[in-house]
Amino acid sequence: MSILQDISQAMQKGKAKQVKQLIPQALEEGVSANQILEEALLAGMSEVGKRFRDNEIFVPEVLVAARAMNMGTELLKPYLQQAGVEPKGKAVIGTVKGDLHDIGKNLVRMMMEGKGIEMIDLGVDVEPQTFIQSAIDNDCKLICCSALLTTTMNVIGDVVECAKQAGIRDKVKIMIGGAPINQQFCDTVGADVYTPDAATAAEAAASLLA
Amino acid sequence: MMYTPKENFIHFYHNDPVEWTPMADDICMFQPEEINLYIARGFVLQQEPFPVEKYGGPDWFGVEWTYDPVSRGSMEVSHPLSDISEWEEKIVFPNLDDYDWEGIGKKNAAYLNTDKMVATTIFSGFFERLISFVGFENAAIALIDEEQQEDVHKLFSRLADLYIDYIRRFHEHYGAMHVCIHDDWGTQRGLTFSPDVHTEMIRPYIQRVIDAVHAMGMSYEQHSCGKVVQLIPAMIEMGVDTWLGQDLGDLNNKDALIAEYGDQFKFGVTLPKLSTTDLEASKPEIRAIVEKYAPKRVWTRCDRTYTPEQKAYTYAYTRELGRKR
Ligand code: B12
Repeated sequence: MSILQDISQAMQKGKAKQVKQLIPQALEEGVSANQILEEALLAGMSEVGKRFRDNEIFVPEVLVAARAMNMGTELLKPYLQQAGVEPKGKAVIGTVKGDLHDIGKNLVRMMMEGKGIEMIDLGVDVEPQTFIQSAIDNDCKLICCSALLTTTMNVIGDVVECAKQAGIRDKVKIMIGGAPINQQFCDTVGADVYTPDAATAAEAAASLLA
Repeated sequence: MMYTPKENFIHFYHNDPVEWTPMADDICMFQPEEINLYIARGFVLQQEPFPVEKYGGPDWFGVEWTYDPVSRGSMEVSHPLSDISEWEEKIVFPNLDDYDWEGIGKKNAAYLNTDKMVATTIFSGFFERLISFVGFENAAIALIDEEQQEDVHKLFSRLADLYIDYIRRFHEHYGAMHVCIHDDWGTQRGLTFSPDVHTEMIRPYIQRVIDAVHAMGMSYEQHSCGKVVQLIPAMIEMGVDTWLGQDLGDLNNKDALIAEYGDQFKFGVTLPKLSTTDLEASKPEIRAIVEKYAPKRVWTRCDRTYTPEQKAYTYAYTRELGRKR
């Protein structure tokens, strides 16, 4: 098995220590940082996403894999910067005002990071205006809103409204998700994309930012 | 012969004939403020009304919660541990001898002097308690990390002892016949962790609690939100007496579950929403719903959206139908 496959396998199994050992070894063997990122880490994370979507693995397995991936990307960062490799776009993410659920939002963030997207995480209980201001300040083309309560899902409509008022509605895409959200709701509030899970969310974000 | 609501419920759980479909109204939930867990989680149920403004704060392990009156629920503010291996050293378990059990009983004497079935709830059962100590991500990982599993087993074992002791005191002092333990195992799409993790890490401790509860002649209710259909066979094997669940929509498809497992398991059913809040107009609908569930071995409760009058009618008709049968 090639070292890239080893790294990818170790990452998918959440073996952070192995990832930490194998990456310097790969760099030493002359594999480029970008290749390690693309072919080992990001490819591995896609696989994790698929298996999670298909209920073959569950939240804990995704979390350990994401931690191993973070460990890997941290190691690669200086090399990537040296080589001038840019992130594949930027996005803001947060859970809407009044809502403190963050498990799903964090998974979405991790999977999007797993696509090489730079994520700005605003946390939970985020005001509509904060999403918009942060997108403007950081020049993000994607705003991701998570809502888990039927009492807070309507805040997403306010985010869309706020984007219009700030004059950036045609410059940003608004992606939404969370347990009570569905495609019909997405259409009603005028958001751009709804997906039911973190893996499809990351796929959609990657193609929106491509 | 007429049963009291308590007798009717006990017959239900013992698989004996019931006079009417037991309803949540037949239960007297006792969650006194002296156990600060109920204040922290925003669910005090006792004789004296408890002011909502005082909800939140530390629970019986000292974990801080904040209460949100709009969503009517609490969330942990921070977590006392960064790593579960520290629990034995840093977590102080509540000492049940410190509570004035008799005093609490006296204070609530009128409340507990009831012909309903007295019951209580333990919030943050096992996985949720682990979450409250280390946060969700660390907790989820600890369940599958070989280096942490031993510590989790020890913690859960100690929790099972605490819960059994707690339930025994409610049984002996207040005549509680039923207990519900909260532990969310599901998400909107399925289980949070794999069925194997449930079997290995959680099930042994739930089993111990259930066995102790049954030995006291009480019944055991598992609360879990999310889509947990996959665990129904395990719940049946463990001897869980009932599960109501709480769904956004009907993601567990209760009617299908009743058809499949109704002869082996007693489901709790939240009655479907009504098409109008007008009592007279909704009566035929209510009767149809009550009649639908009457032949099934389930207990029921009204959806939150029922008006007080609709709730009263649902209950009255449930009893009336029982008498007719
Ligand atoms: C865990 C949980 C909690 C934990 C939260 C811990 C935390 N740090 O987040 C605790 C116990 C603290 C909690 C508290 C409350 N909860 Co809660 N909770 C849940 C539960 C069981 C699972 C949610 C979860 O984490 N799932 C796991 C993740 C991975 O899934 P997910 O969040 O759905 O995310 C996935 C997708 O939706 C999608 N996604 C998510 N966000 C986004 C964003 C974008 C942009 C995209 C594209 C996709 C996407 O991808 C994710 C990964 O695949 C749900 C049950 C359910 N059916 O979902 C109830 C649930 C959401 N809670 C509920 C309630 C009512 C509450 C409380 C009010 C208290 C209570 N009475 O129980 C409080 C509210 C506090 C507040 N103000 O926010 C209700 C909501 C009902 C309703 N009508 O709105 C639910 C549905 C349970 C129920 N009763 O049926 N809860």
